[in-house]
Amino acid sequence: MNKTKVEAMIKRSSLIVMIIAAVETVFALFLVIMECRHLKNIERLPDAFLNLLLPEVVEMFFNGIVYLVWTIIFYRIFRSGRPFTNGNIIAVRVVAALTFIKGFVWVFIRYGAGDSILTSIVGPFFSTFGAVLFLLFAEIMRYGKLLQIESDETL
Amino acid sequence: MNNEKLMSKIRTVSRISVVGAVIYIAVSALRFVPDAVKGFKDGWNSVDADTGAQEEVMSWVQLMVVPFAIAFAAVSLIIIVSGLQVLFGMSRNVSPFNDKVSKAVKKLGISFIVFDVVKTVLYLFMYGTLGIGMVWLAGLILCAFALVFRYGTILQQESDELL
Repeated sequence: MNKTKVEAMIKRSSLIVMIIAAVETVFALFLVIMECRHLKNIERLPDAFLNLLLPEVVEMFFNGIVYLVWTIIFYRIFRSGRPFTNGNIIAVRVVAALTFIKGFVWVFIRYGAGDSILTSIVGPFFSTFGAVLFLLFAEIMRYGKLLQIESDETL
Repeated sequence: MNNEKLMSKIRTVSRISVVGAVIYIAVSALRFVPDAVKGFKDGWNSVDADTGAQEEVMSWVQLMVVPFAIAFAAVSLIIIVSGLQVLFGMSRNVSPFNDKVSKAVKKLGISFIVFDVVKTVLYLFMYGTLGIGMVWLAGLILCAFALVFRYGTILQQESDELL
């Protein structure tokens, strides 16, 4: 399969993923706003309910932002047809940082809600692993950028 | 940073990821073992206590659940194997852009989508609730990234031919 064909396929698949990620962003942020309205009535809510609701809201908020970043990444790929750009590399690093931060915010909230430290730490372990994977993707994209520059210079 | 330095960095991060993946799988397995053992014992003990009607309903549900449970276990295994395959491929090969890795990423993406579908159906039968997870979106992103890897493979081939 030649380069032009793959570029066209990347554009098509990016458009699909971009639309779905955009819908998910709107949905997640809408849910956060709705749940925040519940949290405003905090005086009327029992503690147990708050302890259940708060981690969900925080997770949804972070997920919403991560989906937004993915939407931007795939929008950029869809526009240019080129995945290996500086902007995309930075965006993937932002996703890695957000995933890492989410894990630690999660620990504090779960621990504050009365969970044991062992139960609270499982989520962040997954987040840290996810963050390392995203960093790996960012490095691979950096390598791809070097290859892209080489290819463009040759042409 | 030149190509060689970047490549060695990628290999190092891949190796760290392999170790992380293995630890994560082990921790998850250890976390679920007590619950699984307890559930198995409880289920075993409650067999005698069931009435005929309950048994009839249970057997119908169990018949529906068993194939999906098997599919769930199989897809989970495929995800673990493909994930490790991708990471091992990146840590061993000279370049992360090759056909093997791009195929493994695609397989991983498809497995994620199937995993979410099977999980949703399984939960529907077991608990009667319809909850759609977000793993399918990760699968879709991975499928898109498989194409990015294929594009990288073409660039890599061009670069190799040039040298």
